Amino acid sequence: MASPAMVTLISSDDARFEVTEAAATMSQTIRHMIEDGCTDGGIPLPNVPARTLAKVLEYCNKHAAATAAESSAAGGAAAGSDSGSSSSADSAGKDDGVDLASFDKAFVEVDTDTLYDLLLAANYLDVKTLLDLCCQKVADMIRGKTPEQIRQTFGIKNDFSPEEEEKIRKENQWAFE
Amino acid sequence: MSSSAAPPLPASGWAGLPHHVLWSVFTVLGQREILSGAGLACVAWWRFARDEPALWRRINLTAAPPDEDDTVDDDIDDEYLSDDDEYLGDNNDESLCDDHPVSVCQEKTPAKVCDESSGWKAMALAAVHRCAGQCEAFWGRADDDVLFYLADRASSMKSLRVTSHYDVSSEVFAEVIKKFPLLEELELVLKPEAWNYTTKSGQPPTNSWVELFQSACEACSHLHSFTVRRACKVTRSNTYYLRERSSPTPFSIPVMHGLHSLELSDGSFTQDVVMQIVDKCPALESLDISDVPIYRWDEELRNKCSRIKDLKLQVSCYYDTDSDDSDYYDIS
Repeated sequence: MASPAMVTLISSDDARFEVTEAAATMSQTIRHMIEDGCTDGGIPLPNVPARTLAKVLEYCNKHAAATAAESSAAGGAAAGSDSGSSSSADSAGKDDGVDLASFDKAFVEVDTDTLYDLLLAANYLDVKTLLDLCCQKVADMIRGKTPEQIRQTFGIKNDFSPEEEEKIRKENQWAFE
Repeated sequence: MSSSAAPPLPASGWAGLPHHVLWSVFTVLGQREILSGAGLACVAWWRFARDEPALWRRINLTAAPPDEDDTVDDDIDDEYLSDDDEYLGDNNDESLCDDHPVSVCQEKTPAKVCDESSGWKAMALAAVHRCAGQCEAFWGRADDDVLFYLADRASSMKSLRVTSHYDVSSEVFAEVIKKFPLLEELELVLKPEAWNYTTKSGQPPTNSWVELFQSACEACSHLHSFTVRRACKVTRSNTYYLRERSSPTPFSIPVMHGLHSLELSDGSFTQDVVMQIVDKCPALESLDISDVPIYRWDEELRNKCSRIKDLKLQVSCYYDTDSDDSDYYDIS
């Protein structure tokens, strides 16, 4: 086998994506499918459309590559002299960290529909760091907003019945002027 | 490949987020935001916020840093959750109302403004209510009523970080703390107005925080950290000290093997008390009594304290009421 093992992922709309196993297995869902030997002919992901899967894989590729670089840097440092020469590896690692942080930040600068798709895909695929990243972004978008502003931001319908609205007004007076 | 087919959104879209996704978002937001914004956006989010006790296990209602400065509340008539009086526009640090001008049902907004000070409290009570008895930490403003409310609903409390704006009394706290047998950490911060406050009867409050400490030591065998701190230390003419009363019962505590950090502030911690504390807390690593007005330090106390790694003394004396303010003794 060629050195980077590859797997094929099939989106809900039948698009095929060839990715390294390292990137694909950032998804626990996919990891389990591979472990169960369900990879013949590609791994179907019926809940994830191509547009979203492409975006998720962009994230996974970036992070898998960074992880690989980090472990090889760490391995190189460990294999080097006992002390002294590790500083370059450390600083390389830090650069990667900064790079990754800015990648992550830019990655979730998307419209709310895309963010929603990413959130559901990260949840279904069980990519924990991506899910955390998206949840953090959603929280940042919510923070400091009134209920009405939150509804506007995310297109959420105010579906309280008049009775419920009356009740929450009474019980949550601090939130209403 | 670049199909534009959107995933079939659940009918409710964002409102229909899977619960554990919503959990993650709400956990990042914190309870203050849940109570004042996200938890009121739609029925699904509201129900989730209301009916998921684990969201309220560690309640943190402390103010955001920029809001820390507060104004003095004059009104101490507090309202409970069930009261119908409207709360509008509290300006103190515990409120986010200034940021929340939009109401979901403005047509119902009553013109009446009642009890500006109750917003923080209603929030605190709501948060505690939602924990359904599972609360392990409460950080935020409290008064005697909130403490009582916690005492009845949070028997597994481990961490209490409470800010008092003149409205926590040492007697009540010393009673309430008996309901928290698992308590590991207690921090009480006294806001400045606490010292100028007079009760409705016109009497200044008389607190003896040594009583609280004593009670905590008796009731909370797991205690590892105890703090009573004034929000800003006053170095001149602090009449507050003069209103302190000494403890009605002789000071005595069991050996506190786990207690490793102590910060005390209050004239009721006398030199004798501090000596006993140092004796009874063999694991003490950090002792800050820089705000305890010990009149005179002797060798014995100095020697006792010498084993403590992190020791802050720098004590001033305020007790001689006839002298001027410069009657300080710096021991450090």
